Amino acid sequence: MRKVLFLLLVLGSSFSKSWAHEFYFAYAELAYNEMNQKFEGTLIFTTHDLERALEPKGSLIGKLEKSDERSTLRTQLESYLNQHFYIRYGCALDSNAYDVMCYTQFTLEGISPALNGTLECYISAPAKLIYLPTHLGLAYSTFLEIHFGALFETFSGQQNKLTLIYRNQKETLNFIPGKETQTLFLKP
Amino acid sequence: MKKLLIALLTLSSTTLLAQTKFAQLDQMLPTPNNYRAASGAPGHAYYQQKADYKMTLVLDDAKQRLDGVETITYNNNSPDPLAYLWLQLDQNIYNLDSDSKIIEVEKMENFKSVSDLRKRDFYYDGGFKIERITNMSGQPMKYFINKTMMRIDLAKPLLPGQNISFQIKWWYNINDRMQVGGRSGYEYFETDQNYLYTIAQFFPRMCVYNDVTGWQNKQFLGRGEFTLPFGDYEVSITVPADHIVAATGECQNYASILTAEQRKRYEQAKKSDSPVIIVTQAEAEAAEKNKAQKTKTWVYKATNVRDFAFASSRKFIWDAQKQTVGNKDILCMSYYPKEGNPLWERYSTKLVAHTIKTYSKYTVNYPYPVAISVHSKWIGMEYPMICFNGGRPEADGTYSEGEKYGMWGVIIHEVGHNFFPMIINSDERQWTWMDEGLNTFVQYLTEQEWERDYPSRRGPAYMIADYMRGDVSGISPIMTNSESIKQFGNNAYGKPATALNILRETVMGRELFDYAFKTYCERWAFKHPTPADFFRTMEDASAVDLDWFWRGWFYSTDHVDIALTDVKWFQLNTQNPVLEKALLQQKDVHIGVTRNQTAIGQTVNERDPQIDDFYGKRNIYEVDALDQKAYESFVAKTSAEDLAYLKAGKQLYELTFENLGGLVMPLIIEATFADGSKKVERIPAEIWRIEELKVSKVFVYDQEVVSFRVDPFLETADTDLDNNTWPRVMQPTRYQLYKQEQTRENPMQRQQRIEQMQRGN
Repeated sequence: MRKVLFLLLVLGSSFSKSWAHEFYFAYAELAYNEMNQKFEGTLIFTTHDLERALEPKGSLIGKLEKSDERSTLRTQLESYLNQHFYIRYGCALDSNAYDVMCYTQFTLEGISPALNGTLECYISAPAKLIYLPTHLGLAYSTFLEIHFGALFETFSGQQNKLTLIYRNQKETLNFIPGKETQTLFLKP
Repeated sequence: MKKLLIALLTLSSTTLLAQTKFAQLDQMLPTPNNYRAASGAPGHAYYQQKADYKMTLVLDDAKQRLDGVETITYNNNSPDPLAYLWLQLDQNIYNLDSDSKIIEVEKMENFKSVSDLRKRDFYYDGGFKIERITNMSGQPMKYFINKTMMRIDLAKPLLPGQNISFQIKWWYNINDRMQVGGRSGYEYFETDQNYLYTIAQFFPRMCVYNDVTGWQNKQFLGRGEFTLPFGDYEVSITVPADHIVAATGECQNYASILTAEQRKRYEQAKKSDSPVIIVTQAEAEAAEKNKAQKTKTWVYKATNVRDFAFASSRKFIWDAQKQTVGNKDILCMSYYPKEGNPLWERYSTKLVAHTIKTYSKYTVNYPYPVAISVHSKWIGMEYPMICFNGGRPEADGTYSEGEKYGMWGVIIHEVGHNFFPMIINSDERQWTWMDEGLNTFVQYLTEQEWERDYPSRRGPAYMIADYMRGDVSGISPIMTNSESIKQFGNNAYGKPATALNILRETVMGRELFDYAFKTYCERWAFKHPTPADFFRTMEDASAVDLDWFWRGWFYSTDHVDIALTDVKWFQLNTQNPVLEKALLQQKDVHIGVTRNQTAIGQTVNERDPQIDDFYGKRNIYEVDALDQKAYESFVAKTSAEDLAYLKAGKQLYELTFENLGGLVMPLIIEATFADGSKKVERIPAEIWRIEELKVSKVFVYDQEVVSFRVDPFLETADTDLDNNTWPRVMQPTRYQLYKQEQTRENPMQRQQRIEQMQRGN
């Protein structure tokens, strides 16, 4: 048995709300730009789902679309994205010391609300990946540990999908509550 | 490029592979019978039950409680004697021991605060309180409640062709929709201390008994919606005297409940092609302040509907207009509080009118006398003739463009539900896609007729690609029971709507599809269709074998990824030695040979004429007499048409396609020629009927092709466009497109800059 320490928060009017139209799907299209040594990509959410995740009482509904680049809300969004979407990767300069791991820190470069109710968030993060072609005969290969748990804390039916594009290859991973982190072994 | 020598051979294909993707669905569909024909139409012995209701309701605005007495007359049109009847008690989902709460999967990380835990354990005294069930003589009837279902045991079986009437008295506490959630309930407006009620699933309702499920008494767990028989309703609703009521059916007593001025406006609206305000905002605001203590009773009748719902509030503004469908005038109406304006006054009723008109074109003529949209924050929920829709502007009356499109979309969608499932009455408890998917498809058609290039959320094939691609561990086939669906929205709304759109635009064509789809709607209007009835009718009315399509799109989680993996280029061998030998001479030359032309001044055999013998002197590219004679012989044996074809300079391309995603689809190939012109080839999906993973096809053109592209119009939901082109063209990512944009301004900022510039700032 473990003792659990809970935060004591005042109970607000934040009971689960019923939506007849359940979207609950977020998608990430992320490419590794070897020239710039950066992850560059787009996270796509249902706008009102994301607004509800940022503020469960729903007072942000309709606000993201109107926010400008310097607003507090954008900062809040960037922080939320980095808490719920990050990549752990080997980052040692000496490829033989591969147990040194780094985490991405994404910059929210901009957002684009679509009239169909989705929001695209454009992000990038520096990441010096070391590719280890298998023909080198080393005992390990480059891998990424990808965490994509956005909106899971708000919607139990949420699913997220990511397509990673690197070296003319595409890999697609699926994330569900309880399976927020997945390991992707990069092909040489 | 290769030169090709065409030989006339008889080809015999002996490839024998197990047929899977094109196997007929025979084993997967129920056997046709007298009730449901193999054509997909109702069989000659098709029957359905009828349930008529007479209800007296009292809405207690002080306690937010609804009391009701109903008399149900149930007609057994089946060939079976019924020993008991099953009724649905949907409000029991709010009982403390409700299965829907118990079966919720939970993890400790779901509870990060005491607030989360209190939310989990939140309880209000909901659920039906059944006070009595009696026969028409007032004698109690035996009944048993199993969670959200209630069985009434009959004293003697109800025989085929008989009917039975009985009475139920009940009440329940109405849920605070903003706190508890739910498809119906009330919203409390703190600023003026008034309630807006959207009331549904409020009475014990008969279950469906039919040839497919017997009694459809699968418990209500919250997601799989409702399966209901048709019937006639007479309902009286007593509410505070200053409330305005909107309900399924036609009000029978406007004369006694509306003011003379309101009745006059109502009569104007019935003849008007644009909305007429019947209860004004000023009248509604006055009612908000005064809060009447007396009551009024509104009386409604509705014929041949599968359910009844109503809304009531003193906050309601009410407008209406007529819409002609066929030879009937339908009264389209909207009810909304001032908080819905300015959006609602401007758009709601016009959207209702447009929706019933457009749906009628693609399905069946709207058969009911009224169609109603009620403003209800956050939700979208449908009932016969009436629906509850979100879309609320900011408190200051402003709204974003997204909010506007959100409101438009939800109204079109929910009004559209009048057709699926209110008229074409599928089993929602079993199959969500049969109403949500078909409705979302016609919603897309309706949106596109509302505004050109309307930004529909669902419909176009490419929009489903992100959901379908890659790892499918988190998705279900469309043919999954409503309660077990993963990714509800994409699965039951988006994917079927996309599939139908692909059938219409690509597989069948608009004419064949529209005819077959309308045939399905006409066959099953006011009846209970199943998936097999839909699948069979679409084939029966079109002569298109679609089993491969249903199998792939509805029964599997495969996705579309068809890659153009190889292109080979050929020209025909003309047999003319003059032309062909000249071509041979144009072969590629090794760099050393070219350099030696200058580096070596003179070779030995060039210096010494004694070196070259017969072989040395022979010019292999020279056309000799035998070459000439052979060609003359070839010409003599070949028809003029064939010779002309050989000389025409045809360009032949053998393209190889690989099915990487598993889902077979038609091949749509765009060839772009050297002069910039294009040609589109369309090959039905049956090209995959034997080889499901890899096929090739030869195309013959009059000029050289510079590029090929598969699915150039984004009509197959191909999930990887990077492998669709020859030569390869990588599609830009969304991020790259964003970075290429010239401006970061939103449209309003840009407009402000223009105005500043014009003012000379």
